Amino acid sequence: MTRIEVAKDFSRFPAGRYRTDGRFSGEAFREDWLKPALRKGEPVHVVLDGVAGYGSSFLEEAFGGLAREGCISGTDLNRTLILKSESKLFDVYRKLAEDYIRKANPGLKRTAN
Amino acid sequence: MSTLQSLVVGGVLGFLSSFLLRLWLVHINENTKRFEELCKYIEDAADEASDYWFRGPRDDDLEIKEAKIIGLQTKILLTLSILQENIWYLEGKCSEEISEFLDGLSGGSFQVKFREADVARSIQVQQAAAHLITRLRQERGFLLKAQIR
Repeated sequence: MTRIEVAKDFSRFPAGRYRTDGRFSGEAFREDWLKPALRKGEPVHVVLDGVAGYGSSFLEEAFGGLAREGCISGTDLNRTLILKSESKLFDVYRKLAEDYIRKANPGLKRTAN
Repeated sequence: MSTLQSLVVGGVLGFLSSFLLRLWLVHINENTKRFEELCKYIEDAADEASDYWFRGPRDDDLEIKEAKIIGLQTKILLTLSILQENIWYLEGKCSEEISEFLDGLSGGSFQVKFREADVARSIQVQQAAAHLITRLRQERGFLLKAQIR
């Protein structure tokens, strides 16, 4: 299992959609952290807590983009990529990110946490 | 039971019930205050976002607006999480409207450099805010009625 804490491993201030929008964009997170972790073939746990706030565009590009590019294998979202939120504030972001994945790849199913 | 004992028991019961009533009223007032704050934050964020999306290719001013929008978005979610802790009934009731609103607020080309003006999103965010506030008020109305019954 690979665990990625966005605030600790990536940035406390993730912002933007594309790399051209800044160092800590959704595209950078997807390409530099999510994709390499998923390539290992183990489940990837992503902890969303601790950042100053997410723009929906960041979440859509990072997580929706991952599904669009077919990087999540299998049909069960929560077996391959597990999004975690410890507080209610980040629970909203977790649900939003999961929605973006489902919208980008409607074939994926969601299971209860 | 003697008259004195009856008086003491009656007094204690009276004190307890009035204390509990006060506690309940403080709780209701506090939640009402938070609820109105939440609606105000949603309106402010929608106004800020409408202005942001209406503008063309980015300049310094837009970066400040992005920071304000993210700040207001965080205030909204924090206030909502406090309310949901106090009012369990609200939990999950407005998820769809919240997602729609957040997407209008900071989705699309938010924080994208040199983006074009997005007039449709400028209008959509106001509509999403109106839907969210209406739904929140509706659900709170149901809860208050249930509490009174």
